[in-house]
Amino acid sequence: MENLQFSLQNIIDGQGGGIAITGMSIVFCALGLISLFIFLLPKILERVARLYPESEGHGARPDPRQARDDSELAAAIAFAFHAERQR
Amino acid sequence: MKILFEFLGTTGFANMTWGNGIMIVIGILFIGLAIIKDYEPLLLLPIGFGCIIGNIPPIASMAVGVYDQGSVLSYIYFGVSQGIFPPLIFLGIGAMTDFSTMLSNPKLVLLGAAAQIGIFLTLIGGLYMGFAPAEAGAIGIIGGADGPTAIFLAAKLAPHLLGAIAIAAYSYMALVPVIQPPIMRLLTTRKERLIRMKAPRVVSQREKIIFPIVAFLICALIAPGSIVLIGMLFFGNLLKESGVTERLAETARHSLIDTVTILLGFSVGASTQAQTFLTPQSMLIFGLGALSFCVATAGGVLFAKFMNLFLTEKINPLVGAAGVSAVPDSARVVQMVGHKEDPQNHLLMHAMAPNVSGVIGSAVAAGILWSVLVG
Repeated sequence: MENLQFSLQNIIDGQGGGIAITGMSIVFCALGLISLFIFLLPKILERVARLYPESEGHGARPDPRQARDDSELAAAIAFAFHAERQR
Repeated sequence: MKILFEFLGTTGFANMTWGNGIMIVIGILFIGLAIIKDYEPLLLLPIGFGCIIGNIPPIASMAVGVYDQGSVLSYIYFGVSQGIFPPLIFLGIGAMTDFSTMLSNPKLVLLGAAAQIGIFLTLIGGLYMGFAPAEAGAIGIIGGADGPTAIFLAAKLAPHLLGAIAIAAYSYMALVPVIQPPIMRLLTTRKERLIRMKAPRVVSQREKIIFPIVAFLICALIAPGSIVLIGMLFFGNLLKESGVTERLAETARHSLIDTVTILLGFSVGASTQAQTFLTPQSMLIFGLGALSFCVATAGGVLFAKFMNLFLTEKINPLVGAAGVSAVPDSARVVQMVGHKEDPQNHLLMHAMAPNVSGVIGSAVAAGILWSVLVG
């Protein structure tokens, strides 16, 4: 690290090109598979739902934040509308 | 009198160097940016104060510094140097992340992958400048725009550069609203910036529960080096989405992440002692880090334009800039830039999809680099 020398040979010696191409390929492969899974998931669940209909989770309460989010959202929308009209 | 003079010789005033003084000023600058400008205050304030503490000149006979065995600061820094704190932060991030927008539009996931080009091109740049492969890999991860990931990988691959890499990563994350917009405007036409995207669909709870489990299996089996970060991310998300562990999710996204953020920021700041931080290599790291950010932003935008060649429902290319995993700042920047062109065009929720996929992508990239470059 002490004596840094700029040289293209450093890239070759460090296999920079190979690491970069391999690394990006693996990242795209992983996220591509995730993307494909996400695309297929609703279709799979649709078929599963015919056999096992979706029900309330055991012991799972409705998210109390959901109601607050809706009222907060409504307030934000009303304010934005009011501000737009004032303009 | 002799005792008094001996004592005066051990004070910080007697042992202060110009480098210590500069670092203390930098620490004060970080604190100022955090309080006055509101630039990432949760990170810059602890880091800034840590910089000040770390640059008070140490006394040879007293173990008080970060690098002194047995000191309190060294025990706190242990969580950074051994890569413990970053996975705990990822647990909290997972517990506060909503993957719905990503689940509703899976093709946007690829934008998060494209933005990771910044990591690998910077690795090449680091090699060109003469850094060792492990060092170049640790520097390249700055382009992932993910502080915990950068610290985790630097601790594994190049612990002696951890201070510079961490400061660079968090500084550029704070500067996302400054760095990204010019690049986004340069690489897109006005017509492209006006593209409106279809509203995201509603995602079922079953999808949200199944997704973290399967996504973890995919990432961990492909890149085992990412097990720790990806595992904690999706574990936190499952705590949130399961609906039966809300207490644990609340702890993860509030108390736990706040506690770890305090300790991590503070100890990273304290590790930036002038003797190790103010070197020409640190300046190169800062330069490479900026390049990494810019390339990552450009990569996401350009890939979105490439995808539009094949899609009937076009993607607004601005959304590609959110593939850098600075959640949610880069998504907000996309919203801001898009809003300036068309106040009725709301891109925030669309931008969150590549934003969170960028977190996954940068963690996978870190796992790959760790696997390939360790030893």
